[in-house]
Amino acid sequence: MELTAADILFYLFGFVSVVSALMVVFVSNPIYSALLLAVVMSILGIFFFNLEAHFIAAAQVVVYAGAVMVLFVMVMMLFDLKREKEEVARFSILTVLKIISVGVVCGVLVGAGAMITGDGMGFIKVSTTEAPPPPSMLLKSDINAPTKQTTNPEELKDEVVEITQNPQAGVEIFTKYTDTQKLSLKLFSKYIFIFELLSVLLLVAIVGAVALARSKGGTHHVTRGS
Amino acid sequence: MGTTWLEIIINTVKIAAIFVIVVSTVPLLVWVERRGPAFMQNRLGPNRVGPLGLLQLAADAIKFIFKEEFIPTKAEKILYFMAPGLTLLPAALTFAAIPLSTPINILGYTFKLQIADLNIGLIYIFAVASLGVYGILAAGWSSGNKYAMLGALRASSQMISYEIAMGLSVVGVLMMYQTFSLNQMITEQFGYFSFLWQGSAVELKFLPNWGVFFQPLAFILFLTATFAETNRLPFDLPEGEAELVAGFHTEYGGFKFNMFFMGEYGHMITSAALITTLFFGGYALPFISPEQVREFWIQNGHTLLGFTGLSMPDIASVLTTITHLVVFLAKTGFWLFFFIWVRWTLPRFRYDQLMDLGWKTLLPWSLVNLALTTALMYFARIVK
Repeated sequence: MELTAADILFYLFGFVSVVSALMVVFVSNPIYSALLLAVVMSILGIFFFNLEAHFIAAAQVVVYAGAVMVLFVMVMMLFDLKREKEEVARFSILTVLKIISVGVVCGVLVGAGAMITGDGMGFIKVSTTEAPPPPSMLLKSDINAPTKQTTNPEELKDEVVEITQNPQAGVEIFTKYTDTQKLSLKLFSKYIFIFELLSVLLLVAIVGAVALARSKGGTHHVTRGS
Repeated sequence: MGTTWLEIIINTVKIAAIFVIVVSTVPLLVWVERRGPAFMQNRLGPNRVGPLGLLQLAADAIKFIFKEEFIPTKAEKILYFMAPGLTLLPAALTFAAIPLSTPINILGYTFKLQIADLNIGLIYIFAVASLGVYGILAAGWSSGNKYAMLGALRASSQMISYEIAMGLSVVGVLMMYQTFSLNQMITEQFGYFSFLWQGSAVELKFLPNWGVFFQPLAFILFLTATFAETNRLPFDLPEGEAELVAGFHTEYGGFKFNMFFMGEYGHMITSAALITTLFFGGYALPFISPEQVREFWIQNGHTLLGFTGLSMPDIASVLTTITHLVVFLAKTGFWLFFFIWVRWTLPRFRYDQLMDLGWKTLLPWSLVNLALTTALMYFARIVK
């Protein structure tokens, strides 16, 4: 098998991401855990990039590594972490058992999900019919093929119709959806309901956070009527 | 991927060259930062070492390298050593997406003066720049010093707050250009000021087709936010000397301090280049498209590079690239000077004023800009 530069980068980053993900759990200092989680998030962005999903890659880095984890790290730096550090540093048999049991539960959940949905969830091959070719193969053939750049909304709509009417073709058509325009078109046509629902969920979270900070005596003293 | 060794070598050289150019611009900027304001303030600035004081830079560099390395006793060693790198790296990486000039076509090959021509160039820059906070946070926390910690907290909250205003102010620009690719944005800015109003073309021949004339509000918001993002005065509270000694890099000395320094200037260079690209036509000359420049050099290029024996299109291509590179450097240079100019003109904000400006002024106005752009594009059917 020919090893391309992209493959080498994949294995390199894959190794680093697995190691840092493990370190997130096993490192004694929570700040290092958070920073390593940020590394994992950034590397996930690189994987997306490697799969030609450029916009998702950038969004992954902006949202998770650039915003969410920064806030985590910032808040954690304000805490006195001695107790937490000691707790992990003792590292009793119980802790090891806890971590192992978490892993087992996750595995059982994934397995159960695969059994119920029956499509393997990408982890386990359940169906006996011929599986679609892995995404990497599709991508490589896609690179050599002349890419069709279209900004005509009518043409894009046709593709969306195609994908809604023929879900089997989803994988193949998805490889063409590298363009951000196409992504947003799908997001605001087929998945508009889910998209809006998610935004409401985020809004609820924001309102909840503000309410909690106000009621439980936050840093700012709110004087009414002033 | 069909990548030949030639491509790999050329790309590596390109990456190294552009990185070295960015990093070595820093001492020059420091010189401008010291000499320029000195003249603004009716004094001379460092003028003893070498001609015009230029060798002062070399003296500074040597001092940075040979100063004693020390680690504070309360420091978290790993993070303490990593923090300067974490600051410098994003600053250097963001520059990779900036197109410096038109591609050179020579001897059948095409060289782009840009490390990575990404079709998401703009978001890439935002994504990588947002990682710059980690370096500052890590530095502040790992130093084991309360001033450093306070500086880091200020820096990160400031950068997160202004990132939102910055991102939102650019959305209007993105809607106008309808692309994330910086190259395409520059292509959109060739020629005269012209757009489609209800389907009919409007042209103003005395204005260049620059983004700043289409999105003036976005430009002002973006410019203000960049000052906060680069931690420059008037928003340099993370290192406010009067309150925090030196902020997040209080405990750093020698070359490690220098890396923070280069990181800050690196961010400044990228910001200046980004302002140029988004709002001022990038490498393109005002009114004149690269195609016209190429025509000109096809007519006149042989007198300059005729001795090399290259074919006429090759010569024209090389000269076009050089012309545009000079234009790009001039524009970026102006914005860099602007950064320095503002630093020596405006006083520092108070912290609550800074937050008010970010959340209560810039953010609402960028939303207004977004709504206005949307309304104009939808109802008046304005197409750039």
